[in-house]
Amino acid sequence: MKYLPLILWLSILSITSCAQRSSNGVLELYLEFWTYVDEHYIFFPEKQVDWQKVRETQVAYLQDHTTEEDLFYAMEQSLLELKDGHVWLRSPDKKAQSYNYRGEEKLLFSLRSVRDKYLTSKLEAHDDIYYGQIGEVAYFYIHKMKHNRSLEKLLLQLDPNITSIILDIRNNGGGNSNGVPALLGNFVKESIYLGAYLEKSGPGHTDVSDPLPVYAHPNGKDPIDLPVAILTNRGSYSASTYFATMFQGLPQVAVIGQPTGGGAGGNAGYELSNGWILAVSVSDFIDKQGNSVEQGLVPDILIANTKDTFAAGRDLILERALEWSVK
Amino acid sequence: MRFLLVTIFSFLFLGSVQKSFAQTDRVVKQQELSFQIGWRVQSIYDQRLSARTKSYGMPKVGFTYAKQNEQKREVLQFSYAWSLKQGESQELLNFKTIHPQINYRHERKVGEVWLGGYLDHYTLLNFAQSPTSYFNNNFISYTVSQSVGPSISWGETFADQWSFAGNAQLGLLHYLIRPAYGHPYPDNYLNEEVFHPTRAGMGKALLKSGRLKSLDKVQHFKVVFGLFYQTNSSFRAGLQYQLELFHQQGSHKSGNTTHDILLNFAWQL
Repeated sequence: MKYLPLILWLSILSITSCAQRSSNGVLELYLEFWTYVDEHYIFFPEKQVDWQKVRETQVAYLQDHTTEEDLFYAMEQSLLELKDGHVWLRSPDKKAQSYNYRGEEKLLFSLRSVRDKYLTSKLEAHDDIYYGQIGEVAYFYIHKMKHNRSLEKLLLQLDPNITSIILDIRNNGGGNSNGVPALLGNFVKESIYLGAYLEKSGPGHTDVSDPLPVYAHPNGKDPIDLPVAILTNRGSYSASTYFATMFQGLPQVAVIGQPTGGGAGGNAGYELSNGWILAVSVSDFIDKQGNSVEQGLVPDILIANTKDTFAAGRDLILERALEWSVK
Repeated sequence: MRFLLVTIFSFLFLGSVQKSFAQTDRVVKQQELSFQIGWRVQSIYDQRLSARTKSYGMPKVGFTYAKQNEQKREVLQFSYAWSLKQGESQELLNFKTIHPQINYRHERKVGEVWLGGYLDHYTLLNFAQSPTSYFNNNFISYTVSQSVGPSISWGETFADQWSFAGNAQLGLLHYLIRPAYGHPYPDNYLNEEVFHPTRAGMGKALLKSGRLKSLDKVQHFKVVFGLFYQTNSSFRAGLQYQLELFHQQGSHKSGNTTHDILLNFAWQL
């Protein structure tokens, strides 16, 4: 009897010390993955992917293919059906193939060519931003979407003889666009609606929040009252798409070039019970007209570089922007 | 089910231990301030980030202020546990955990035990630590709970300078705050007039995003045992063991089972 407390206490410890461990087979793991994507991916309605059919196909495949390699392949092939560059999968040993948002065409852009053939000043660099002048046009190449504050500083220090601005975001694969509305506050005299986020709010394919609008509010300083050209191509992805979409909301801005690669979805990561991790898009961004820019933003002026002109050192997109700037 | 079994066994254990002493309780005199330091082992899961349960060890510290007379006792405790920096890991995801907690209980002497209620503030922050960028947009998951429920304490002195003390609490009602669904925004933040892409104003929205939950949705149970040695009339030191279980059954379940071993140093004021 006197040992009863000890026996009871050891029982408590044994109950509480059991940790959950995965003992799922290949099929169970695939279904766990499939269910997670089914309940969290935001673009099923827009992309009209038959996710049930994807499951049937891969479950049939896994009946006869039962190794970890096979499971990885099944998950990878499933994710490629979503055609989304923000959807990722990896195991401790390898990364799954990602959707190529750039498409088949080669991205014909060279900063060296811009520097050598077009700039009339030295090309300076600061925090992934390369800048100079082309006559009275201020040219900025933004390599990554990371340094909105640095860009803001550079824009506020423009030479007084500058008559227009080019912000070149070609081949910019993204980063962080959260600071763009504040950046745009330097360009507006009154609040302007830029677009809206949509957030996944539940497990159903259509469970999405009401639109969460984003505005550019004037920041109290004299606004930058210059025309702005945003240059884009298929390599402008994710935060670059947001950047171009938000800027396009301003009346003095023109987006010039090729449609962006899209990537409006903000993703979120998750660890499966076997330790593999995946990320799926759980949010969307819609432009002022209410259109999702997941598949790409269409520029105001559509133009593309060609292989021949590019080989000859010409940048037709930049030239069109310069032409637009002086009008 | 496991939670129910733990609760039943703990109260049986408490009952059997309580009967084995005959002397009156002189565990806390008047006012006492104490400091706890020790080590925690936890099993934690958060289905917003992972399907796996993870186990970690981490340090824990705490401060307690207790005031009592022959009939009434009040105890206010603050504790803080945090993950240490981890070495290289084979896992693609680890949790860095921060766990501050504030607990207040008010009890009255009823026979040989002290019975009353408690109010607890429990904040568990899990930061996703990954060598990849997969969690850049959901780098945090949080569980914030204000709980109320019954509290029972007991204690006995023996062999003049030794004393034994314990306390158990069971949460009956909780104000629970968890992220809404995809990204870790709280519910109230997904509101046209509140949302901001830079996450400004999220703190206030977070506090308004809670839901009232009862025992069927949130299980929160704590039991602590301590053995103390009184060195002189104003100081005692001891060793404590605390078991705490917290589990919530929302759309993304989460839970934490912790075992704490603590050194306790107490000064009579």
